[in-house]
Amino acid sequence: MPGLTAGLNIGLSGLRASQNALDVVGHNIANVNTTGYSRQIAGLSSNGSLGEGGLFFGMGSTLSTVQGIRDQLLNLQITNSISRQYGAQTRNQALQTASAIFTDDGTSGISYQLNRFFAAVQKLSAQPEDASVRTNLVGTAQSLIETMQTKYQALQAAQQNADTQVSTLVTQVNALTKQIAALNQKLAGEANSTNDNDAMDQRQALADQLAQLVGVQTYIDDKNQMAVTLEGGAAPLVAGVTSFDMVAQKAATSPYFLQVSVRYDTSLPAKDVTSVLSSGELGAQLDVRDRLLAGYEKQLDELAAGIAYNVNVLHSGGYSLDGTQRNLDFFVGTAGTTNHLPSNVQVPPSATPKDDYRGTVLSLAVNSAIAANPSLIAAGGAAAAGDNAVAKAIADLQTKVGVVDTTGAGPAAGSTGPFSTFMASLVNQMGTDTSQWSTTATNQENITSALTNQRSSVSGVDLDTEAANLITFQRGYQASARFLSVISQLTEQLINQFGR
Amino acid sequence: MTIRTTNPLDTSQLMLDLQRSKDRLSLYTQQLTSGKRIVNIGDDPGGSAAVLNFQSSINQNKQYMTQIDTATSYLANTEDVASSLETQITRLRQLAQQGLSTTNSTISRQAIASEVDGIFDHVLNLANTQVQGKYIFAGTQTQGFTDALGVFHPPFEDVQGATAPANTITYNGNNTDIVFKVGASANVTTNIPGDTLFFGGAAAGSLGSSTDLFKQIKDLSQALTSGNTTAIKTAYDNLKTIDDHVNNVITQLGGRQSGIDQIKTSLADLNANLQSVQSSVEDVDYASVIKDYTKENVAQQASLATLAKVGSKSLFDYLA
Repeated sequence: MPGLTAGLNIGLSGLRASQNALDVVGHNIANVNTTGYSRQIAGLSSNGSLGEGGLFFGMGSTLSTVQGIRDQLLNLQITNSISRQYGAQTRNQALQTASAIFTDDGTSGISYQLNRFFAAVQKLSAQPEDASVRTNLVGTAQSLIETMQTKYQALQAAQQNADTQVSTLVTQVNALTKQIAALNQKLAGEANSTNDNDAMDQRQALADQLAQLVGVQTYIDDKNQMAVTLEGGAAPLVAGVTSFDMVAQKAATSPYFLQVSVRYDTSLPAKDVTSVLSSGELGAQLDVRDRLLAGYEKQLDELAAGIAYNVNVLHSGGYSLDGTQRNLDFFVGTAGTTNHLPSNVQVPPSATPKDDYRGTVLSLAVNSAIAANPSLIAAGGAAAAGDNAVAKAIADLQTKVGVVDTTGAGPAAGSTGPFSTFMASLVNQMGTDTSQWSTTATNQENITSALTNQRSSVSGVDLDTEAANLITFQRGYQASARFLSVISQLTEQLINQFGR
Repeated sequence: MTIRTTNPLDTSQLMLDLQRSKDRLSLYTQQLTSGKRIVNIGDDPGGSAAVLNFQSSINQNKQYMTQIDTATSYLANTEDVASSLETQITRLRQLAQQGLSTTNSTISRQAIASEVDGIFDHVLNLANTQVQGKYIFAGTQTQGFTDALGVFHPPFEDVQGATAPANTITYNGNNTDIVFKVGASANVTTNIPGDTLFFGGAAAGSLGSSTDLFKQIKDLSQALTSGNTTAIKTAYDNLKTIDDHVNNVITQLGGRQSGIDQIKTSLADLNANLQSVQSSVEDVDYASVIKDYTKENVAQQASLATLAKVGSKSLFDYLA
């Protein structure tokens, strides 16, 4: 049978256990609003018992575990969902900005300017002798070009902005992967690393942040090390205690924008992951830059090439006001024209498909000879001042199908049109892209929100629970103290009163 | 089973809902203040494209209507000249008839001839009619013709002296039609080439023929002066043919005019329809948006009130 001293020890263990449990409750309460924090549960267990004469006397209690409540699968799902959510949101934001440039009710913008240009051509066909009608045509052609160039430049500025974001995001990604590797290192040095709840929570919070920036897959191995891989297994970012930096730099193969690569094996050249990334902010910015905005620019170039080529072919065969056939192109490029298109533009089918017609919009101008002397406009199909055959043929282009080449078959083998319909379908496409990514963003937001709620339900701190635990452990502490005071009285009885 | 509902969860869900509510309110406000249903093209991509297509068609149709107005002015002027020409031809035939009358003396025939000469000048003047600085009876040579020596020649010129065939004048225009586009696939010819009207066909074959009005007038004048009744009779008969031809031209011009008038009417109708369709796609339905706005506003206020109350109480409030 244990003695009085043993009773004191039992009481003391109760005091300590309750106090430690109160510390855990206090830690939970202190972290009620900490991102990524998982609530911890104080695990009390009874101390071993002392056997004496067939009886076993318990020896009090201790705090044996502090268990973090977390669901690893949920964490994995949340990481994926966050990547997709931020990917969609970033695309949506970029497209909202870009599509605002093209918001148009037909009373301004490219479509309107196209109509004005063709209206001026029709006026020319009615009054080919009239100098003011000719001057007006030059004016409308110039404002059509200016409008197209302004919109094109706005798209380019948005692309440039995405490119700047790419380099910022890469820096942020590198900072996060370094921190994750550092936490891996810390955990690797600990004996029972799976009990280090706070380090693991921090690491998970960093993984969530990383997922916002770039699409990643995380995996925690049997040594409690978090491995981070780019989406699709393109390249590792964190392996054990090592992190691999992403690099954003201009490459020889892509002279326009930054290329993103990861060098994870020093014996190999850095791996280009630019086209692999699709989710997270980084993947979204690359997609916006290289596919969405680039696609709209391509269509504008195709439209400009269609207008320039078709007008030029007709115009160069016409007769100017003085009855001379001058073989002049109406629209020229900065370096003149070759085969009725700006000379600095690669023309399919012989050109590299990637750069078909690229730069047509920005290169385009009204032939300076014509701008200086509008009587050179070739409105006539014959040497007569009143002949309007060419002007009328150009006016017919307004409603002609097959004037825009989108397939790379060559400018003379256009497959779509008319111009105004082509423009409307471009606007439709931008709108559809914007609305699609907006819907995806909302859906992903809902999924992330549901998953986070679920995680919060599993791992979040509930103040009512903590308050109840607080009272429970407080009462435990009070009772243990009371028990100690009883033992103390017994001892006093024994020492001071016994044998008097 | 009870789901553990923890403290931060309450507010994050509420904040998300509140944010969406604010987004919707902002959209409704923009719709109401702009009067447009589509604020960003992403709101309704198909609608945005449709609006552009409608507006494009409307602008094209307006363009065609402007062309029709211009065409009308040329056709009307041409018709005016053709009508005065007809009057002059009628007078010429009266004069020829008088010249045939045996009671007329040589002197009175000469008086008739001088009136015929006056009519010749008038007809020549009509042939060189200009509208807005354009000769309307010159085919496409609407600015006249400047020769290698820099001398200007109007479309019709009475070159005094030897002409072949005899009694003909020079035509400096051509036989080309001027065609305007007045619809996606509708064209109208706005002129009558001078040789067709005054010579009865292309200058190459008709100049100096029996249908050449100028030659017939000159022949008539000569016949009257010389008292050659056979020649007067021939001119009289030829003038009848020419009169029929001019009448035909007038009918033809009227036909063209009524054709484009009909096109214009249908274009105007089409535009009215297009505008109403465009408006239904583009413009805001105030009643429905105001209803949505009010509904959303109530929802937002409810969310705000809830957010203010959430988490204000926990077990801690009741612990001493």
